[in-house]
Amino acid sequence: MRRIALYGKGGIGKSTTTSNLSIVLAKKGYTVMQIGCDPKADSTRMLTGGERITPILKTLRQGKDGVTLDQLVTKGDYGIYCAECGGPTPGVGCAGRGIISAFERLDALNAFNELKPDFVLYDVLGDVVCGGFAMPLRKGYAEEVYIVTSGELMSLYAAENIALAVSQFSQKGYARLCGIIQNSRNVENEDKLISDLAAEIGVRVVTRIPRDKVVQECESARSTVASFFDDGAYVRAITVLADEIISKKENR
Amino acid sequence: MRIIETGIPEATDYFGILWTMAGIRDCIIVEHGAPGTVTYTQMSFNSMNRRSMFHKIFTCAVNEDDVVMGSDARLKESIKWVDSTYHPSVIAVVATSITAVIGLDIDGIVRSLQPEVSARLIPFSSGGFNGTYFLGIAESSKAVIREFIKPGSYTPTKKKVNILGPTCEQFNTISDLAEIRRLLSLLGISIGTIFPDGCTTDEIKNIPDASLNLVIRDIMIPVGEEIEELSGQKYMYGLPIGLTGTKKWIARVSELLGILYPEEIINDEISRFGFSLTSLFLKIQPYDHLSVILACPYEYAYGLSEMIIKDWGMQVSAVFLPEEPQISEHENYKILFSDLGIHDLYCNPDDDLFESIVNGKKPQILFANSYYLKMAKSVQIKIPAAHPTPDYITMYDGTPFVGFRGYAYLTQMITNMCNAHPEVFIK
Repeated sequence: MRRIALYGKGGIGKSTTTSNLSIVLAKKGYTVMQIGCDPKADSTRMLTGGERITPILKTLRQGKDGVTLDQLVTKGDYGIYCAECGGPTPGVGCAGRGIISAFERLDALNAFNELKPDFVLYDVLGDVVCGGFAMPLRKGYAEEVYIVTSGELMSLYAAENIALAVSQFSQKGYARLCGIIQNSRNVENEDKLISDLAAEIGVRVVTRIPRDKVVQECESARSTVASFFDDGAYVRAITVLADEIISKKENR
Repeated sequence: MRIIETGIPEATDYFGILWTMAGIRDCIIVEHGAPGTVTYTQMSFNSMNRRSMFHKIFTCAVNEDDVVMGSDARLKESIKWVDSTYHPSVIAVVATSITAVIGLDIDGIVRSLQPEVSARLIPFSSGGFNGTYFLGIAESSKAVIREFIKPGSYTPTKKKVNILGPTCEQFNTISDLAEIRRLLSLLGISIGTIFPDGCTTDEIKNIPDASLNLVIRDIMIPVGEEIEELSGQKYMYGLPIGLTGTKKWIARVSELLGILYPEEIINDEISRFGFSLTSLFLKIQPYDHLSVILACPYEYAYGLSEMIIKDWGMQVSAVFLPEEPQISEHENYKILFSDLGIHDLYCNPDDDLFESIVNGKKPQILFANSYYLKMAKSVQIKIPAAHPTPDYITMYDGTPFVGFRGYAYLTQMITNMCNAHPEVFIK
């Protein structure tokens, strides 16, 4: 089993990228689990026909100790296991602690041994703003981290911050940064800006995903691009990412 | 979970960890939390047989800045200071709820700091959110066992046992352990390690040296299982309570250790300590109508029920347990109570339920903690039998509830207390 976390600035396209990656991996015959780590609980929406699944924290609050794994994990397109941590409504509570609680409950229910995914993909909200949002980086939850960024300045800043957080954790033997995923926004000199950032933090740009209106069209149809198409510029870029991840497995 | 606590709040796993680790003599606890938390903890220890936690538990005194910045500097400095000042064998690094909320990586801190300190560091990162103190005691005990007992095959010493179970919040342990030691000595059996309360890390390492682990409370069954997995050492669960219960317990110990059941010794013990209530009460003092309610941990609740019904000939009208007993894989506790004719069983009841049952059943005798004893205003005879009992001391080792002497002590006590409340004899 490989555990991979995708971080990046809010709104940069992490959930879209992660969902498409899940589909490409699943189409290649792998068992995939995608865990959304965002209080909005919408990471897996495009894998479940646009339906929101009930977040783990909400289920826990309703059922407390009697909760079973099948109440927390939903099967989506191509048999992908979908789970959403969920969290408090905006402005109250502690979303970071929510992620810790959700992870601990999945552990207690022996989720990974029960479901036996080949890949677990964590789609993590925005910056690593507190200890809770760093949870996927710790205790072996994720071994590899990819940062999704565009060439926009704020996105690059966020990527730099995330890289700093990951570096602190990797020094303690936790997850390591494996590369940058460019989710293009057609910013001037975008490829160079992102390549420079990657060089600065000592990783490669793994793939450059083009800005493509097909993403919006597919999402309007409540699905991912990779579900509809086997080819095209967008799917090819995601496939490059998937192949890179798979080849790391083969090289391990 | 109750929304509003009307009584004593149930202790969390955080307390279970502290109660376990504080009992290990060469262990010091360093807590990542606010100073107020440790102050309260020290007070709670003091309420249990006036335990002192002086030089035993320390806090790194987390402040607002540490919370905001997620700093681990104070914790690291505190651990190093405790290590160099007190030279303990083990430092338990314990998270509080603050730690758990900010997600401070206690495990990582311990791993990175370990090369810099002499003491063995054991992290406990739950912060009190994982469950009740039952879970805390079991999990911390297992963590310690895994730390000090390495998997392998051992050659145990014959006629030597360990006792697994006592922690500081267990009621009357000093006397009960003294009586268990006496009973075992009658069989020629010695005790190796008593875990965790009062033991050292060297004694923990020596646990596989004994032939059998006597688990005296259900919380410790997972620990007995853990040791069995590591060393192949068998365990036996149960407490010897009452004449019937003690004889059964001795028979099981004898069988597991391959010792002949000591018939003559047992008969001698019964002739010394097996007072019959019929001989102690006068003919004009009928007692078979007396009704008892028990509110104590499972071992006491079951053992005392059996004694009250089979040895005393009284009735048990209800039993309250602080938690669902952890013995279900081995025995169904509801069936065990049902076989004694007890069907009114309540686990982790709220105070209103307790009060209404007591008021409805109108027992003459109640075994419980101080809080319940105070609530039950209509009950004539009240016997402390569980913690918390901040107003009741059990330091002297001659007041056991277990074994033949425990039977004698309780029988004498109940006789005197009934005589002090003669109205209980009126049917």
